Amino acid sequence: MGETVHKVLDHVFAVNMRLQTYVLDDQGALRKHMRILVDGLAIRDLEKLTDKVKPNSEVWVMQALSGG
Amino acid sequence: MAQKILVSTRKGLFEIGRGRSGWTVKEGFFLGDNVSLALHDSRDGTDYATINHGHFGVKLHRRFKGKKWVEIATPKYPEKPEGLVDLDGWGKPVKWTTQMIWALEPAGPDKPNTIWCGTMPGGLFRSFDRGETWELMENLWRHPDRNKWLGGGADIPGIHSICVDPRDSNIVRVAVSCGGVWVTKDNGVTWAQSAHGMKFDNGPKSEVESPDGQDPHMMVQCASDPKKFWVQHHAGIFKSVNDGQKWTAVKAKPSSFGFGVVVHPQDADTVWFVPGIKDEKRIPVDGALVVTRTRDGGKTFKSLKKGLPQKNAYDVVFRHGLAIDDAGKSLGMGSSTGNLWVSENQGDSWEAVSSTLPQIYAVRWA
Repeated sequence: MGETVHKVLDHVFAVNMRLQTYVLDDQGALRKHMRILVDGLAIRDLEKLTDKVKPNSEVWVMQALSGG
Repeated sequence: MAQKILVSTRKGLFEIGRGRSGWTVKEGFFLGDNVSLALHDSRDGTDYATINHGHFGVKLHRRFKGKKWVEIATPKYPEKPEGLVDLDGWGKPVKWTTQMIWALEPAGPDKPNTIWCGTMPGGLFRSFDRGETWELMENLWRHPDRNKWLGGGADIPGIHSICVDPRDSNIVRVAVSCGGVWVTKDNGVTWAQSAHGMKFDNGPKSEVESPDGQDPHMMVQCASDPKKFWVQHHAGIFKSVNDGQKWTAVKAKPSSFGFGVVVHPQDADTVWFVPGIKDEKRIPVDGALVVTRTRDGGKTFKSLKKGLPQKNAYDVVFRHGLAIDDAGKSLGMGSSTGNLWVSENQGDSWEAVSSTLPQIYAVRWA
């Protein structure tokens, strides 16, 4: 599915619209403390999410937790 | 008399009620989450709560007459135009993202379902449908003077006070830290600065007296005498008796510094504050927590301390941490160290409800 991280996420958000507001901010950028890995490597473009995704790539969306 | 208080804290929203043996914490919601503000809309019985997740962003939830909470839409900024240079008063780029919901107010009895919402980084939003959808007040957001706004206590500017005029709900005033006071008289279409007379103590005149740089910590309007306003400002207390057209300084003892202010709904000259030493020492004077009250429009103040800790108290009451009920008789007060008090005699004495709540951001009668 898709060819960039952005497009992959769009497929997911299409079936769960509210999820988008948890992962991305108002401008579509990755929220701070959120991290996306493609085949084990952190993506570089945190604003437009244009990192490439292969047909059999594995994409992880992870959150860092902090605070006391 | 109101019998319920919503308390927003660093670790959840708590409902406080009055039982036969006094006030107690009845129930907690969103436990573990950072609840920055709640609103009870008495027009229709809806409660709103805003959660500021560090990682997932800002969210809004709503419940109707005590039923289950459901998540609703969060105000969303429009797409920032490509190539736009948008800097705040510090010269830092403004991020067009809702980073905090800092004010929630009903839009008046003649505008059911309509809610105002103030945010960081400074956008004012309105919902016509109880938070299903939101619209940004574009003319305020795109006002050129908005670029003079800057962060004070927080890193970025924000709208924390919204006063809907009881005489005409198309007149709305908002206070901005730091950006002065803005007024619309046409229901949000046009906006003008209204902080003239507020000033800081030290610095170049052009800076300290510039309305756009003023830091009102909290602004309130008297419900029955609505031309009168009170502001707890970064540099002291200010009042206006002419619809915010002109503000004058008021001096209080033991200090004029603080965050919260409430005015009696039926008496504009009766006002309460919670003083700290000064802006660079935000703790109670001599470790003794007091509430100051004037009954003569700020000529004299009385320190109210009965029931409040008078030794080793380092409580800060944040700007939304002091609230008065519609009758003007009962006050609720929550502090940065998780202390919660209620007074049922206008502050003459205080009952400690809890000393173990998380850090309290906001107290609201429901």
